[in-house]
Amino acid sequence: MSNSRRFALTAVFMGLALAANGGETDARVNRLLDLASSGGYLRDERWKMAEEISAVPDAQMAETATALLASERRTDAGQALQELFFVWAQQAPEAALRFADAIRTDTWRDACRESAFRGWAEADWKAARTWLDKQPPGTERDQMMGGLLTLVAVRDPHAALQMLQEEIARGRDIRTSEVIKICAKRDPAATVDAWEKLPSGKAKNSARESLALNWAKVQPEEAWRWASGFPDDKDGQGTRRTVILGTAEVDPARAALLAMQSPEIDRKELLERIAWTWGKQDPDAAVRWAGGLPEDGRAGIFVAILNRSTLADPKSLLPSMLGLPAGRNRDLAVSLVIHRWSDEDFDGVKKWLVQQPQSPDFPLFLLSCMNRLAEQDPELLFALFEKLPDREKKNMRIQLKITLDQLRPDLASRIAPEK
Amino acid sequence: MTGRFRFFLRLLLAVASAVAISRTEADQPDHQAARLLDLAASGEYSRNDWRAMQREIRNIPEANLAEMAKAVLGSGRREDIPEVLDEICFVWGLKDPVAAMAFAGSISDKSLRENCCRTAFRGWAESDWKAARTWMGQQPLGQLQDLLAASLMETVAVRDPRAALQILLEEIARGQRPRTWHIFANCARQDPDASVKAWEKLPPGGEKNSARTSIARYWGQVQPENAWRWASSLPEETDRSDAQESVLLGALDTFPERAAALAKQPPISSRLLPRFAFEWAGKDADAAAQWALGLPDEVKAAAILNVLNRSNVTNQRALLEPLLGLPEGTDRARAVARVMDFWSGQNYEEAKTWLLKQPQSRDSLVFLWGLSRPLAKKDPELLLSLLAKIPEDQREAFLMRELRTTIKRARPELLPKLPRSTTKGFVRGWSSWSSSCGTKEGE
Repeated sequence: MSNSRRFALTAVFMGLALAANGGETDARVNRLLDLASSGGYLRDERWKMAEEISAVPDAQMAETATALLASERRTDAGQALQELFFVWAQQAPEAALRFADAIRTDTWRDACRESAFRGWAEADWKAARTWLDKQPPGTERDQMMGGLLTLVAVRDPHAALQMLQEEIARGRDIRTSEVIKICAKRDPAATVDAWEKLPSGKAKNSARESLALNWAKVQPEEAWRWASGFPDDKDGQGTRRTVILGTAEVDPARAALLAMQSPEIDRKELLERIAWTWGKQDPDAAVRWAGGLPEDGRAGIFVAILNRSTLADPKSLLPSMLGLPAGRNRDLAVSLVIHRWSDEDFDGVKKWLVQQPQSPDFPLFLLSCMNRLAEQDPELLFALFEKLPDREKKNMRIQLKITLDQLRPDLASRIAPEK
Repeated sequence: MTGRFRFFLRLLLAVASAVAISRTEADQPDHQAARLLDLAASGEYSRNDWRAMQREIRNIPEANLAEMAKAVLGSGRREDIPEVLDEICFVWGLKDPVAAMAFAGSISDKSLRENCCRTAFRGWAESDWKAARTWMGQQPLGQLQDLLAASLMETVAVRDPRAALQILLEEIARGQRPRTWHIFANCARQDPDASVKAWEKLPPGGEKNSARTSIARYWGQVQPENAWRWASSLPEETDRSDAQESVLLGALDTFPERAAALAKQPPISSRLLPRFAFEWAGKDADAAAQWALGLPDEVKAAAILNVLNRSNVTNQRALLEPLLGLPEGTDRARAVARVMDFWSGQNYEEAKTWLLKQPQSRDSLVFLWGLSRPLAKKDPELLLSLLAKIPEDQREAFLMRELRTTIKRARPELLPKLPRSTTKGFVRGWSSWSSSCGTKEGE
């Protein structure tokens, strides 16, 4: 075979190989865009996109990134690109960063650099840190350093605490609370030690709060002993209060006991916070606990529980809420119970409402269901409104008008302006 | 005992020990659960660890998922349990949804129970939405069912938008109150016409409003001009204005230049223009500033101020002349002061020299306000002498108040030496635009 013929054949083969590869890339990019698109909503597809990207050969990363950047489907391409740079940088960080640097659109360049740096840090945080130390100060460096610090805190809390101290010495308060949060859960003793070495100031104060909160979540008793060593000043009280809040996340009954035994702390607000946390975990137990508290402040505690909770039998709570001392919190507690009951059984609530005699509480009952009635049974809402005495009607008219304007503008004209 | 029976007995024992040995310590449910919980804890900060957790869960044989879920739940690691159980329930829901739902429903912690029910159901819906729907139709109405219905429709909306919209209307007719935002988000991107038709059939109320915003936002992301035409055709003023705003914000995500062109098309409420400038500045402050300079005078200052409030424009100095050409107003004053302050941060001496060359005018106090922070720190005597030169009738109350606030922060001991404000409002009309944007952002 002559040289020229051999050359021609080689060229044809190379062309075919390139075309085949190009076709493969196009198909992959389309698949990735589809997975990114549905992956925004479907977890399984998000997983499949990540798996597909992790299988892209190193040699085809640049080509795939180029095709994604050229896509008209920008939102989907953005999702896929972030994942791609994360994976690429784990294998070839410098190539990935070089490629990202050359992207013309600012927002995409920044996002891809950030992802590439994250990937590099996950694969080799020491090398990534050396590179980052050479970058100019600014927002991007701070962002990258923030991500790096939290990652190192997971891998090596001692190293992270050392880095944190260096950053603070440079005047940079970068995700201090977050780093302390991670380290406090993994190595509380080292974290306390590092915290003590921090220079006084805002960063140290927020770090103390973070340490107290997160240590209490894993070792509530040890954290309480530490907090008890602080003097009885504002900082000491704040630290003990935060430990109680952390304890509430894992053992609300113990947290409530500590709060009751700490007279120097503003107990009312603290008990409400505990109630709120308890209500998320076990609302019925929280309600039982609240029922045994002194009457003063009990309504606020019920409000805190009811705010986030679905109760097994909300209707059964109504008489005790109606029996709370008069005030804003009592009205709020009544209203929340009716809300929760409406969530479970709105027909039951409507039946009950129709049977209620006129009383000083009737407008409150009506207000508690007004939105739902406006949406689902406006005729009943109008009928109940008409039942109100004139004085109450006057007060309620404005609220009803606002509700209808928002939810049923088609019916708003039925509320005649006040004469 | 016969020799043959002894042989079988030995064989059985050998197989049993082999099985026991093959299940090494690391494979024991408690150990694997601990590993998964560790990965979940670090996975919050490490994507690789998160993936490793997901991969390990996906590799658990279907028959062992119940055992693993129980081991995780029994670990007592309250902080990390939700993440791992969420993933287990999702994968279990993909493979054996009825068992997954039964397990999730038996969890005693309320919020964990609800979350696991949702994710197990989500897995089911992603693998076989028709079966999931049949099961859901047999359940009693209630809050959890509302959540499950929404989850189902969000999934179907990706796979088959028309079916999702049909289910939505049927569920509403059945007395359910599903959240509509995510359903319409997907349907509008894939099938805007069907979405609009379904939206028109929704009962009036908060969910209909939410659906309108969602359609506008997500249709705007893919077909800005078509979405704009629909938004502009809505008869109700509130619907129209809200939908136009959402189309612009959606288009801004994907096609900023096309969004900017639409924002200048009538009919548009001029209230939207500064708001749009604010949002665009979050993505590209220089382009947003350039666009704002081309707006009509009555909204230009508010739009430029919003751009400056949102992000740093590279060449702020270039905005000064166009701003000074605008009619007096609070937004103009604020924007000029912002530019001066930024300029002084870059080159204080240059900004100060420029200030000293300016003739006395009604803008003098605005310029002083803009430079008051560095002047108070570096040249307090100059600041006081320049202030003293401002005629009494030009010491506008609003500007003096702002100036005092800045000086209070920079050098509080100067406060008693400041002249009093003696006039009210040559800067007229508080702008509702910039302040409303601030509120919205804060929300």
